[in-house]
Amino acid sequence: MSLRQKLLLVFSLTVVLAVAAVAWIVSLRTRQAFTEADQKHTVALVNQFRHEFDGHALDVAAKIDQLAASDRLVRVAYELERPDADLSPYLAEAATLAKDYQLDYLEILLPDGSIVSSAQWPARFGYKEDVRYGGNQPTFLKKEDLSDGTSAIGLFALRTVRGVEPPIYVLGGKRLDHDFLANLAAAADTQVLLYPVLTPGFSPEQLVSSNANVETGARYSSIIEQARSSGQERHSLIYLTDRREDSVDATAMPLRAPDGNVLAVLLVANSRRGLVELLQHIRAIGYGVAGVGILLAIAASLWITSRISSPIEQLAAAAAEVAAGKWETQVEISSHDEVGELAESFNHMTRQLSEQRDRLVQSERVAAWRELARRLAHELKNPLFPLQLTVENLIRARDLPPAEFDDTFRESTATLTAEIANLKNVIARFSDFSKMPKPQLQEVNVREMVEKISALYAPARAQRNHRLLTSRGSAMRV
Amino acid sequence: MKRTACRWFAVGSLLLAVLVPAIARTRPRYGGVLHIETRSDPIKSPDGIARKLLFDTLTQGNDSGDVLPGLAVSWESQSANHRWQFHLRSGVRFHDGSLLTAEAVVQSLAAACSRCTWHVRGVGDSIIFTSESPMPGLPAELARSVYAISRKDQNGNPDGTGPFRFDSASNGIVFLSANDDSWQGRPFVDAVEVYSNRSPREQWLDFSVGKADLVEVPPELLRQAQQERVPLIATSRPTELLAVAISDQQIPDVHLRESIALALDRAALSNVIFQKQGEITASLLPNALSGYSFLFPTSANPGRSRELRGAQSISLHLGVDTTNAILQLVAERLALNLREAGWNVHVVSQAANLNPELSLRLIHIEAADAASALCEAMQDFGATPHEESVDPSAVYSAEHAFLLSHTVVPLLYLPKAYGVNARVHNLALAPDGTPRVASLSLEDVR
Amino acid sequence: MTFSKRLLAWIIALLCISPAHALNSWDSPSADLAARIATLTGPGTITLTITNRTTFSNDDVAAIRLAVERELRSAGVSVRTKDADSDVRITLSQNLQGWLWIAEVQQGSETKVEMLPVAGSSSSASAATGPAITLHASLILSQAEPILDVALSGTGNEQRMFVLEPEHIKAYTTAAGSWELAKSYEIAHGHPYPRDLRGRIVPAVDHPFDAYLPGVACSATRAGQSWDLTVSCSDSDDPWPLESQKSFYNSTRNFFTGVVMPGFGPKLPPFYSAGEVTRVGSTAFLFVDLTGATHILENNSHKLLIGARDWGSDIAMVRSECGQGTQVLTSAAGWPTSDSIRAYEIAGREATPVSAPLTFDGIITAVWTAGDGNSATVVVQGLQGRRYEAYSVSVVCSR
Repeated sequence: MSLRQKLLLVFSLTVVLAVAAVAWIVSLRTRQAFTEADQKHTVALVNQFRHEFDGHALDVAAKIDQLAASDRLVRVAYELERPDADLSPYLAEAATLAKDYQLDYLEILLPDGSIVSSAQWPARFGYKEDVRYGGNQPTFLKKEDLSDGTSAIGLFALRTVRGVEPPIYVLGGKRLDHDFLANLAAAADTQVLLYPVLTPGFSPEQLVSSNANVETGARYSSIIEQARSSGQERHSLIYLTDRREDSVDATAMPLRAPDGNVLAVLLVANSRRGLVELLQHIRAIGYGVAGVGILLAIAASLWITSRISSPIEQLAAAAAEVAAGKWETQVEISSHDEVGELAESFNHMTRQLSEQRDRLVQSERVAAWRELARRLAHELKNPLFPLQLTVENLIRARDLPPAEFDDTFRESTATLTAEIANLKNVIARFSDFSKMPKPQLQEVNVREMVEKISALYAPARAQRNHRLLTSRGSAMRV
Repeated sequence: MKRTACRWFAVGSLLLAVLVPAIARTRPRYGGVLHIETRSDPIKSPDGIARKLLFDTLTQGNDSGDVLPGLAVSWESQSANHRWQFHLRSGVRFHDGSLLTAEAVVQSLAAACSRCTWHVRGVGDSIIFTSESPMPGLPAELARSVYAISRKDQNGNPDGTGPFRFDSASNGIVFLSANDDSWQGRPFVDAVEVYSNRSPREQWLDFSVGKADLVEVPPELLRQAQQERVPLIATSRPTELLAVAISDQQIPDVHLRESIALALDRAALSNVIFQKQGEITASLLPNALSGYSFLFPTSANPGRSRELRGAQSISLHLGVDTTNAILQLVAERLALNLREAGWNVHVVSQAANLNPELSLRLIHIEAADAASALCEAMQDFGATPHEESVDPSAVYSAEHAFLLSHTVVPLLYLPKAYGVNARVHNLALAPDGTPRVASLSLEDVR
Repeated sequence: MTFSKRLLAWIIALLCISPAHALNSWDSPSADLAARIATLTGPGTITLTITNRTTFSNDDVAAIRLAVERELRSAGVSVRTKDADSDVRITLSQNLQGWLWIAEVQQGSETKVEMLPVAGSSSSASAATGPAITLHASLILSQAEPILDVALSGTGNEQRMFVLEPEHIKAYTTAAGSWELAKSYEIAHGHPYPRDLRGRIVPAVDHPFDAYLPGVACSATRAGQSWDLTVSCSDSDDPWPLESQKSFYNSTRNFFTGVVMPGFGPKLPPFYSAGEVTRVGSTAFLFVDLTGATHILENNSHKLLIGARDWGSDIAMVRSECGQGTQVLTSAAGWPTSDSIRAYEIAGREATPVSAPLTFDGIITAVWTAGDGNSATVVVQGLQGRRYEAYSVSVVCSR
């Protein structure tokens, strides 16, 4: 890892951690604050809803009171009180009255509880209802069997018709269903559900909502079962889907029959979507801020590290150049701090190295020229001496008889020729020396050659952390 | 004294004159258009009102169950009632003017007869019926409107020999006009408009505001209509049988079927739902026809029903026409009875569930004599009657044997009733409860 | 004898008729039923219960029980109150055809049933009461086939009754105080009759009778003193006799056309029925028009008759020794289920009732002055169209 990367990492980490810590702390505090507020809101809603429910129960009771005191029902009751009363004309009376008074359930009962007329199950005339059911409660819950084989829970009131003895009863109420829930005022983000306890186990299809089909009814099963089994109000956080926004603060209120059995569980589910979204928003902002901060930090780090590491890198590069033999390398001096001083020192060093090298080269060159001249002089002296002698011989031979002169001329010319050839050869060797020798092809093992050459540079490679990669396979011979 | 008496009578007649309606005419008057409303199809339904106005039958039944001539003036039987010969009335014409012939009669009877055991052919102006089994009640049976002589004219409209001819039909209204050449005499009214597929409530509303002259009053509303002092309610003898049919294919055990029969409480249906306008019965025939319906016990016996059912827990479906609210109420009541006896019963729509184990049915008995009525009822419930004799004992034996199988549980016999506008006079009901529209007249005709 | 005592006598007489008749009439079916029961039980003991599901009176039921027990005893079956070999339950029931007596014989767990159809009849007329004039109705004939009119001809053993039906004219002779059908003459007509069929049969001076139906006229002739008549009918538009007038009848409807011969001068509207009121020096003509209003025509003009608001559409004039000597018998207004006849006298333009209504168990379908003018023939269709009954209604003076 380079200095720049280290610096970058250190700086980035430092800033990221700082930003994340701040964001988390802020988010946590904000969430706690909103959650508390939301819980208070939920409690308030539940209380309001409870009050609303009680109000509707009183409405039901008021309607039954009104019905029991109505002239129409009083007339019917007087007719029913006669010893030879014919009940058949009143078979549809309850249905008509129920419609008039907007009740879902209504039955007119004789003193012994026999049904004279039933709005919800007209065929049930003659069968008996327990007129003691409900005791003295103004309203009570009751499970009502219906003609289609199903059952439903209703909010009932039982009254006696005014002024008739023995009493004629009127038992009526509203069904706890979707319409009933819809009439209960609830906040926009609050869903009211009702689970009528009609079967031993939990059945999500029975869950009724005020505004829409309940597709996630199974999620409420545990809180409903808790409320049902304990008979106490229960609170729970429920995730309707895998998304946090679909979670709700649920309060389950068991609704009891007069005998204490839980007939239904009323659920108030306050949506946490707002809170979650707010928290998510805060989190997102936090992430955003953190992200921006990180990016800024990275950018700053990049800049800082570049500011710091760049001269060092330049120095390192220059050093490498120097190591590679470029002794005249200079670095730019961009600051006047320690790095600048280092750069200046480096430049001085490389200058000196260059000068020294130049001087060394010069001296070596001179030496080499001297050696060359010496060797040339020596080499030239050798053939020149014989030449000199030969020429002297020739001069001397001029005085000789022609025949001797010819022999001496011939020997001398031969010697001159040989020595001139030798001299040519020396000159040719010098000329060849100045030339690169011609390549002489020969078959070599490339791998071995490479490895040999590599071995020469092994120390340098190690220093520079260079590796030689060779392919596998058989040696290639060229 | 005489003068005093005269004065008293004069005063009395003056008072009577004030109280009695102003119009003194008793003879029926010709003219006017009669407005009838009905729930069912007036032509396609076997007891459709228009059907009886458009078409005639070979014979007719009177209130005493006697068989009177119709399109046939006389008949005789041979070979111990294996062969009958009916002589057609001469000079009778279809509404399109063509003469009534034996061929036309044979064609009409052949088209109407899907489960008849007799073979019919025409010879001259006679119709010959032959069968491998004796047909002692054939003349009475031919009085049923299902055997009315009908055909289609060249426009595809109904064509018959009845007192009214078909004019047109649109938007559920059938328009008929008087047949001046009717062999029974021209009807008193000039035309009849039959509004079909009208619910009882719609009929009652139209009747209340005077739009309708003749409307159907369901038995369950009969008492209310009487209490509301409707000008005239014409009520027939019981002609509509309310019964539960039990599928012997789905419930092959006769004891189980008997268990179902014993669980049903007729008294509640009659006393409450139909407000005592029906006749509790456990027989296929009403007492007015047979005279012996009391021989079939009508009381429910839930205890015995449970004994016969034993420990079996069987789920049953009771099919009913759910468009008829009162039948649905009856079905729900019967379902309650059966549940008390330990049966698990669900009321379903007859239209949706094609094969319920139980079916609540309301069938119309048209025949005016016991033997024919028994055949008619058995045929309606899918049985093949064997008419051996018209003797009451034989009819009783046949009915008793059929009911022992408990595939049919008769519950109530209900009358047909009609609300009649004050301007309608001389309304008489046929033995099967349908109004004799051809015999009535209208008051306010100009 | 005061009026009230005479009236009481009439009432008692009428009431006595029915039970006496019933006592005699139940013996035969009781014997038949007892024989069937005895066949099932064999000689031995039975308990016997009788349940009445008909309109029989308690006296009738008691009479039936006595007769059944008598016949059973003669068959070796004795009746006990308990501990008998068999239990027999007799139910007196009825259906459209008539009575149906049913015997259930229970021996052990087995029950056998015997059924016996018994013919029966209903309908009767109650005597009218009134301080001045009483209407008396005597039943002439009761039958299932429609009766249009009845005419009596001859006296004593030579008395004949001719009954006009839509398709037949039937001649009856007297035998042992009751009428027996002697012969039936078919009425041939080429056109279908209108509804609400009306017809008249009138004894003639020189031949037994003339009969009139819409579009048809019949006449009977006899060869010498023989009552073997020849009745010839043909399509005809002959006017019908109405008192001293003759009036044409609409052959496709149920009313007279208004054309009267010799007539009274002014053209009359169509009418249902008519009659003449004899006054001193003049004759007034009453007719009931198609709206149901009754007019009196005299002095070439007709006016509405006052006091006739509750008149029906059928009127007939009868002579009597009471009051003015001529009374108008009229059916009741409206469409009552139990129709009635009432007598009126006409003074000036005003009609005054002079008798109480004489009610019948049915609807009056025809009122015609009888041939002798001293009574009216009233035809009643029993309730639910069961039977047709012809009555002779006469005016009886009270003092």
